[in-house]
Amino acid sequence: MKKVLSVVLCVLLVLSLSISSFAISSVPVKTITPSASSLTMNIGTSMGTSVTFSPANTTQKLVKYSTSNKKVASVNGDGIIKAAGAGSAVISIISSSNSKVKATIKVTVKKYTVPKKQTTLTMTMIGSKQEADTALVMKKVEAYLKDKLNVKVNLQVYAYTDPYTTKVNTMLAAGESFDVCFTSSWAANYYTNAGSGYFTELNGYLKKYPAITQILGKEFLSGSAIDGKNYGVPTNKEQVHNWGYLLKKDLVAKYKIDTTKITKMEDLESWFAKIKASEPGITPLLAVTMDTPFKFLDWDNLGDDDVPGALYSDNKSSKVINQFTAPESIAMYKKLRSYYEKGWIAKDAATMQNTTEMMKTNKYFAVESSLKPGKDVEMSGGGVDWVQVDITKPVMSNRETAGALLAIPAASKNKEIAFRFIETLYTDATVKNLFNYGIEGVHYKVNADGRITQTQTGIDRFNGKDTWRFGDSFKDLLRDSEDLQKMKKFLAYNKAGLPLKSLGFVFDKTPVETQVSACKNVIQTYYKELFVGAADVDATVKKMSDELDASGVNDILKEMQSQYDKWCAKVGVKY
Amino acid sequence: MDSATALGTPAVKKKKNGLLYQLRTNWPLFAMLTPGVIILIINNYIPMFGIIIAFKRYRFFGSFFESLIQSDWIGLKNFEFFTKTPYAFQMTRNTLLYNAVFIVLGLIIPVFFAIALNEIRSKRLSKLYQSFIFLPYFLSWIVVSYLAYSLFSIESGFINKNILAPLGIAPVEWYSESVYWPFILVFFQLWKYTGYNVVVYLAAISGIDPEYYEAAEIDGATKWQQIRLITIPLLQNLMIILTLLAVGRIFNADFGLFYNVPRNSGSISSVTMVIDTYVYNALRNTNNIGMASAAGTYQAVIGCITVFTANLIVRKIDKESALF
Repeated sequence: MKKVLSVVLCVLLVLSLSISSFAISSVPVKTITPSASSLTMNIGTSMGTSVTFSPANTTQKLVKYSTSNKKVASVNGDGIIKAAGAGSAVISIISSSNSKVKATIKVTVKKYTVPKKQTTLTMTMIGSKQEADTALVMKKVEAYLKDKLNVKVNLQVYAYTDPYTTKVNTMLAAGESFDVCFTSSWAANYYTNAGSGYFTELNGYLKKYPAITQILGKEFLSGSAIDGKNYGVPTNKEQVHNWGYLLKKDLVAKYKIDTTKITKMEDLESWFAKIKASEPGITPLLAVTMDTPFKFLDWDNLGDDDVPGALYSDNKSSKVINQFTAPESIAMYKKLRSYYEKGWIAKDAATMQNTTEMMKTNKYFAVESSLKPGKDVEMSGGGVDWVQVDITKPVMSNRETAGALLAIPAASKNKEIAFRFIETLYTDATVKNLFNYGIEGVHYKVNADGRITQTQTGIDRFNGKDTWRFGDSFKDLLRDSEDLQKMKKFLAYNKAGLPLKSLGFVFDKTPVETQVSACKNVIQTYYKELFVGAADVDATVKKMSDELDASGVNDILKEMQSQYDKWCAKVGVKY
Repeated sequence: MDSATALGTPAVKKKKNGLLYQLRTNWPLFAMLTPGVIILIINNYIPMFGIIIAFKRYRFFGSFFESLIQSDWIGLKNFEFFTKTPYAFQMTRNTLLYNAVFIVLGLIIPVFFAIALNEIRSKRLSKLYQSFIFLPYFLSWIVVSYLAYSLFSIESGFINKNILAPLGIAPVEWYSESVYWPFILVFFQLWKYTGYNVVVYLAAISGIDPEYYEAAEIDGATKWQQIRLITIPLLQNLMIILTLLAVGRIFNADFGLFYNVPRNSGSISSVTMVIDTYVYNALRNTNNIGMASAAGTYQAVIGCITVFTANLIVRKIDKESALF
């Protein structure tokens, strides 16, 4: 009996081996192309490169990197080039499977041109709060940049969304002189402020100092351009998004929920019922303002999130529709209504205000969230740990290309040096990590595996988090709770995303500004009740849609459609 | 004007140097006036120039003043956003009616409390009550909104959980039932501001000459008669001034009250939406200072008109009591 079993196993093994080797040998690599053929770098900076293979489905995707001059530039196994000294060097990339398939990157390393006079740059940043040790860290930044840019940074952090937006918008409108400014589609109104002339056009600087373009790639950079002009540089991070749930880790373990089996909203419903029945004090689903499963419909909103006008995010049709009254949305409202009636959503949901604060209360099992690899780890801590489950597929949309940008206000008096400073946040890992986590040895310790552990001082006085706000996030040190493969997963995630055809389209609302403000008020009036299921669906939708009509929603849709069609024809997007 | 000519008629020469003469004789008073006037000019008059933003599409050109001048004129377009909306009537009605109620109750209740507090024999008790009434004035609307939330929250609110539930009454969804909100809002407004107004009226009452009351007592007037015939008539001028000032702001709703206390809940917006909350919702994410100025200008102009009208009416009834 044993013999028979081992023979069968052997046969199976041989079979599987031959099949896999057959598969491997089937697609040989023909050419490899590096992400850039020549690079210009400053001493002390580093830059990641990647390689694309042809044919794309080749199975021989291993390459070796080598440098012609270690004193100028070194390269590691992942293609990260470090500039060591002035001069030029050639990086060779050779396929591990076929040494005849190769490519080169020419690297020119320059010394920083250090200005004689020190410049003080004022930088406004969004965050949880102004950390206590900011001044100390900025001193360190000043010392480090002394022989590079000779700048001193005055970092001002204002709290997320409303406080930041109010503060910065006022500074911009008043023409206050500051130099670096966080902006985005969701805080400090990148599109409106750029359109109103508050930000400096950066194309000239991008050309003169090419590092940022080399890091971000032209395509991603053009995603946040307005009529071909860049008014801000996006963070290099995940370039796609998807939606899903974060689930409370202890409950997932307690009920042995197999998260891999959850792929759609309905899959979680039986668990909601079970948790509602057997966990008193726990509400199954946290739904606050816009953070509700309504997001799973993944509308490609052409205006703000509370302005009617969106496309389906499947690239199939160019027709602009009203996402708040679309049949899918109404079906979603009804589903959420049934959740609400079953007690799965809190009766108070429509009046709740701060999602992250509510998440910390330990009273909720699931919450809708935008996801990326490692999002659950990022959100965990403070007594609540989360596990993420994906519901929608990754998509690359304008949401990411303008999700976090650094801009230079038009009133700045130090534009060029401000731009060069922004550049170091992309090229210099030391600077980037100083801004992320503070000072090594004080605010964090580096572990043997290269990941860091924050010290108590770090947690209390310079709590590095939210490193996605600026610069090149691929240069971030990883925290000890994070996956060592995070960056690789990010890259794979970026590649898996479907780029929407609307990428780079910016709706100019000036012709219908009146209607937009009026419709915003209608949406603000009704969306909360609908998104959490707190109101009778048919009656509310009827009222909302009547009021939207009276507010001129059709003018907005018509204007969006005509702008979108024109834009499609101009850039050659076809459906 | 009348008084100036009345003063100046006897000496024509002096009238010519009226201002100089006044400066020379009353210079300490003018010196005391100067800082206030300077602040008024800097903070209230120079910025009036900025009213032109309301008629422009504001774009940034290097500096604020340059932008102010170079931006394009667009006429009344900035004003359209709060007239061309289905909520135009509703928000104007709410603003006016709430403010009307606040003005009337904000007159009667503080005067009532001020007189009552004044009649309390024990000075210490009087001060204690006064402090209690005054206390809510120092709370911000954000704090008040959480107080209200702890009362009205559907699942964990005091009223639903500790009052209605023991009585066996089904919980009320306070934040989605519009019938209760006119009362709730009026209650919180009065709760917060009564103390402040009481202090103003108390100060006025303590300024009334005690001889009036002594004389009245000798004549055998009751307490009620003293209040009706001495206190209230002597408070009348202050009451008129405060009311006129309030009327001037009848188009400016208290944003903190109307936005925070109802927690911006949509289903009760038919009774909580006022001009200020509408403007906030429309412009919160746009950084459009043209439209924001338009809203401010609109409220200022209407407020100005209402003040003049109210003053005119007061003048018609009693010339002495009018503000100007």
